[in-house]
Amino acid sequence: MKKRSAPFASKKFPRTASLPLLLTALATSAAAAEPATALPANVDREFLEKLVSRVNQSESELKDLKAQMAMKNGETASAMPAAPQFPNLQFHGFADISYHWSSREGINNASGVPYNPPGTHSGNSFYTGEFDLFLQSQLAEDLSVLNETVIASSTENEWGLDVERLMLSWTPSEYFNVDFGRFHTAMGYYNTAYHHGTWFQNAVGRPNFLEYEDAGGLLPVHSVGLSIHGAIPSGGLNAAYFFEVANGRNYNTMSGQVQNVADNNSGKAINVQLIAKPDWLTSSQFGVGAYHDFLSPEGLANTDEWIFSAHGIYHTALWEFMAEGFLIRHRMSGDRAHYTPLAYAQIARKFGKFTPYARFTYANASANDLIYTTILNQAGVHYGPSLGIRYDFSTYAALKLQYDYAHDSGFHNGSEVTVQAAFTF
Amino acid sequence: MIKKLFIITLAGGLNFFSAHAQDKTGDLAIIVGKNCSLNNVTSEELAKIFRAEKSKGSDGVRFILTTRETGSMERGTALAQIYKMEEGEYSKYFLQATFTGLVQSAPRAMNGSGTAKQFVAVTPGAIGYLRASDADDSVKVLKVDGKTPGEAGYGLKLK
Repeated sequence: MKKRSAPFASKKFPRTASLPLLLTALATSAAAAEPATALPANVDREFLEKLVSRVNQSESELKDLKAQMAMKNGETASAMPAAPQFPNLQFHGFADISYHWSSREGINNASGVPYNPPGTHSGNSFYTGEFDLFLQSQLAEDLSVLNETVIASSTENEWGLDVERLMLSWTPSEYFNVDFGRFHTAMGYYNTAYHHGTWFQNAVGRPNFLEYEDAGGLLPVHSVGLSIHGAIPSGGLNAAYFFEVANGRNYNTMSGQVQNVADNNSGKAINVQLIAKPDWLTSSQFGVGAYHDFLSPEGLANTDEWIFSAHGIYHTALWEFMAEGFLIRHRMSGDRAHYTPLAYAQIARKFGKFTPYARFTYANASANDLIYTTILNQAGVHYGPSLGIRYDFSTYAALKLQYDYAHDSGFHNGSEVTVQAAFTF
Repeated sequence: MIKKLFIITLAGGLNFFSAHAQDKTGDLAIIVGKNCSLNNVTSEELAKIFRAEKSKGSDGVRFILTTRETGSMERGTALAQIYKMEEGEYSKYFLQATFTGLVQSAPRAMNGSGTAKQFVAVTPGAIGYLRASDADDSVKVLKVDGKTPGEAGYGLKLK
């Protein structure tokens, strides 16, 4: 009669057949708190020890392979602990290349001015978008510098270089952080969630009124000054604040609106925004804000500007819902106040590598506001839907197709189609 | 003979799963340095810490986030159960967080439990994760929602 211990004890037992049994016993011994008592007494312990040694060796080899895979995927796997070293410069690049078609190519408005919607390019054109160079370096544990420099071509086909962001950040506390330099104004959600790299955003571009100052936008997207921000102790509400002091706008047909070096008046723009990310509605954000500036527009009387904002966001791995509203109030000396409401809503749903999205944008720049009628040429009602689909054909590259229908009072209504390849490197 | 083998294999397997269910081998442990002020975190707090939405502990020490090597079970579990993201979304999230200035860099990837444990043990503010059975006295294992790995109802299960 054979011994019951034969499967484990016999070295003659077929190796392939014995392996599951040995692994099972091994797993049992590894899982149990006391392997010596958990194993049957008649197990060949020497053989098991050899097997354990082989498994350990295999695990070690597997870890090495995983590390090699990680390195191959561009991830820096730490081989050993090391203290942070400063400065630690990081570089990322973003760019997009597009094709744009518009049914309004060559159309002039009633005054004979060529149609030039904000943020768009001439119809039936391929165009290179922004070549965005992003640098960040931590100088100390609580100190870092961030720079975003964009090289882009104008509609005159000339390349230009813009320092879009340059700021020194001091982050001593969860509740008190300071950015000093040129930054995106903490106004609403989109403006600080998305910067110049179009790869991050689902749509091919920003809502029209949120376009950059040199592309026809109506809001002070960039500021040069001081931004103080941090969390507000608020339990599950997870509130945070932003308080900013900056050079205001310069509405001048001959120079840029963002006052990088010289402020054209002594008044400073003040911006306050409060946001909340409540625990009871995870992945959501709500916010309200107020911005005030004294404007000295070219050829016009000094103007008092208020911009009020509110937003609600819901953003999960699958769903994206964004809604923002702004109200601009301009009151010129000796005149009554004029109001310009702006709003957009966007919804997107991810299906694997595809993300269809829809956006509706509305702007009504007061026709009695001289800043819009004489300097920006943006007076009137502008609204329309955008429908698009994003295809992430690679982890770091996406192809987007977007259709826009735009109504612009004073211009012809029209359609636009944009195909964009956006990527990061 | 084959029948006997089958029975023994089955018995061994049942024994394994029985032992497995009672210990912490299948749990993902969250580890910090022994001097860290954290002892117990909620699932929500843990997600905020690992998503860099909460940058410092109550002792004022800045969290240094670590992750694990791509393809490891621990990383997959953390992505699914803490970050609630896929690998591509995780990459994009931290790239965007860097872009917006929320973080200075993406979490530092640790190659293996030993490295993760060693880094967390010697680096103030470091927080990471590993298979619960790989944890030892060199690090502190956090309670999550009041439960320690191996305890019934512990939420972070290796998958």
